[in-house]
Amino acid sequence: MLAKVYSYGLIGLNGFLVTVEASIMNGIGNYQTVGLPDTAVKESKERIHAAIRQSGMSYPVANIIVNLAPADLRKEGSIYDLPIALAILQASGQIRPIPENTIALGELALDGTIRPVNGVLPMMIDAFANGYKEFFIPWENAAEASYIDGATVYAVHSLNELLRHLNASEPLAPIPIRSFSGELVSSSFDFSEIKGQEAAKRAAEVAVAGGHNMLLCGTPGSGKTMLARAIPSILPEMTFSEALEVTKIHSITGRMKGSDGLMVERPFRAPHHGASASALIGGGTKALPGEISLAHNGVLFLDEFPEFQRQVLESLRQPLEDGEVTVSRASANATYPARFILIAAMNPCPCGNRGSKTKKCTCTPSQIRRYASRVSGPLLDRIDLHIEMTEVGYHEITERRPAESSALIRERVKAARLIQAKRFQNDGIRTNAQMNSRLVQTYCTPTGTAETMLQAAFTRLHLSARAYQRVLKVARTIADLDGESEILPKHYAEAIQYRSTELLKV
Amino acid sequence: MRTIDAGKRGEEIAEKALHKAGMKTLARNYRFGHCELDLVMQERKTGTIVFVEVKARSKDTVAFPRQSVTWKKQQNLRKAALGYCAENGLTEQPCRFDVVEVWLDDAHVEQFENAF
Repeated sequence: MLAKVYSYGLIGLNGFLVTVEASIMNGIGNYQTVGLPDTAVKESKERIHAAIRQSGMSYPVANIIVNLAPADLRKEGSIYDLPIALAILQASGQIRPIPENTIALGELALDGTIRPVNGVLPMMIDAFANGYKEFFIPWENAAEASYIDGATVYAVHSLNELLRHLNASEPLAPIPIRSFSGELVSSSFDFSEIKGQEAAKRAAEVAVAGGHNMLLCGTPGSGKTMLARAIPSILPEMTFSEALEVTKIHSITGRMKGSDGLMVERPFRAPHHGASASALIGGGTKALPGEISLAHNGVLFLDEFPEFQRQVLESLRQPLEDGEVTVSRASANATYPARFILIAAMNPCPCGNRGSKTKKCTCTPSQIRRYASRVSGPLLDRIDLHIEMTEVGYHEITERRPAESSALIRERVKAARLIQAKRFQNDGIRTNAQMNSRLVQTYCTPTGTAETMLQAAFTRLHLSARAYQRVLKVARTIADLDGESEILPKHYAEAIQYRSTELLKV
Repeated sequence: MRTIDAGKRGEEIAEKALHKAGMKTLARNYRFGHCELDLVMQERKTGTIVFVEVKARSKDTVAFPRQSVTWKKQQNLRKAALGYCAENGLTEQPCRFDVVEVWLDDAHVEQFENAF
């Protein structure tokens, strides 16, 4: 006899329907899985056998063929255990057919318990958009599945429980749909704890408000890392669609298991400088997302920037421009969003004291040149805010009066983001940094004194065309923070000043 | 020697049932090295050679008799069948393997055509 159960698969972040067909024919007990299964799918046979027996049903002694359609797409992982088991039980006449618009996902334990799987959220979003309204998913994945309004989701503990639901002896209640609150938990670092460094704090505010990249260059102990770590505390809340994007990416890498549903806080990723290009960009045989995609809609913090391998840093160039990255491998190919704020931190020279007011730099000019050349020009060109940080004086450290708190800064950032959201509502982007050259022309056209000032800066600082555009975008953000609809000369002046760091010139 | 007797009886029951199903016997217990074919039959209608493995059990067994035709056993049967075909010059004949399950208590026979 024949049975059909529907399940889902993923290529990158995009889902595809998998029809699980089981055919049971008279025979001596051959079992075959066809439809491009990987090893984990093939091994499901043994798990399913044990789980069916443990759930009090009988495993048919007959020739079983399991087909996973479409036959030309690779099926990976253990998510098909549950649909295959259901198809076998249905084909052997032990359960009634499962409704057509139902998707089943889940890994089986030998005792029939259903284990959590990766990628439930992106699969469900895609399936729901394609008209599948009912879902059987592992109970540990329930949290991330509870935000799809209109879906009937059953979070199942064991095969036995599901079978009792299906024969209506003990029907399950669908999990309640939650609404997105976007509430933030307080971050561990606060801007009020950072003494001095007002210029750097201001730059951080601008970077976060407009989604600009920032490079902190300064002597050891000047607070570069501390400032970067405090940045999550001024990041604005995510919208529901942003939270979904972020959660989807984290879901396919298996980071959402057992957590409380959606990612609410913007991600802050700080990979060590030993990271490989695939760790940063994405890769592996399954072409999984890397740090830059995990930092999507959030912050990617690269401490000790020049210590990263050159080839790793250069691989950041294209995603920094495009906001997405295509990971290609022999067996898989996937495109992931990667729109993040890059915060990089570095010392000005090998000994670290260059530019210090109190200590002497002991580096030779050639050492300094070699060190500075580890970060290439094209990469610096893509970083809008270059900030110098020198050590904080005694009086600033012992200052009792607390500095401005993160909550206050966050309010300003949120106001600026709101202005941007209004401005770009028909342009499909969210922040000033995402503007393309056409939008820059529309929204930031310098006139009068501003124009002459920019002209002078362009020639004196040897700006590239790209850098010039980025200066305009930063100026737009600074004006937004001021609540000005026009960009004033002082806004341009501040934006230019973020491009004119002495320490980065050799 | 009771197991062998039981096996012999099973084979007799199976052979009779296959005769009724329109087959004639070509050989019984054909040996090729250490590989053995219980029955070699031929379908009268199509001329297909049928190599039959008979599995006899009494009712109180844990598993189905057919489940004891393992991969290794199947490989042995394939070897023996090749040997039989070679010896008798049957190179162009269609052939297949059947497993016949015999329940000794009530002489119930279950035939699995094209079992592997």
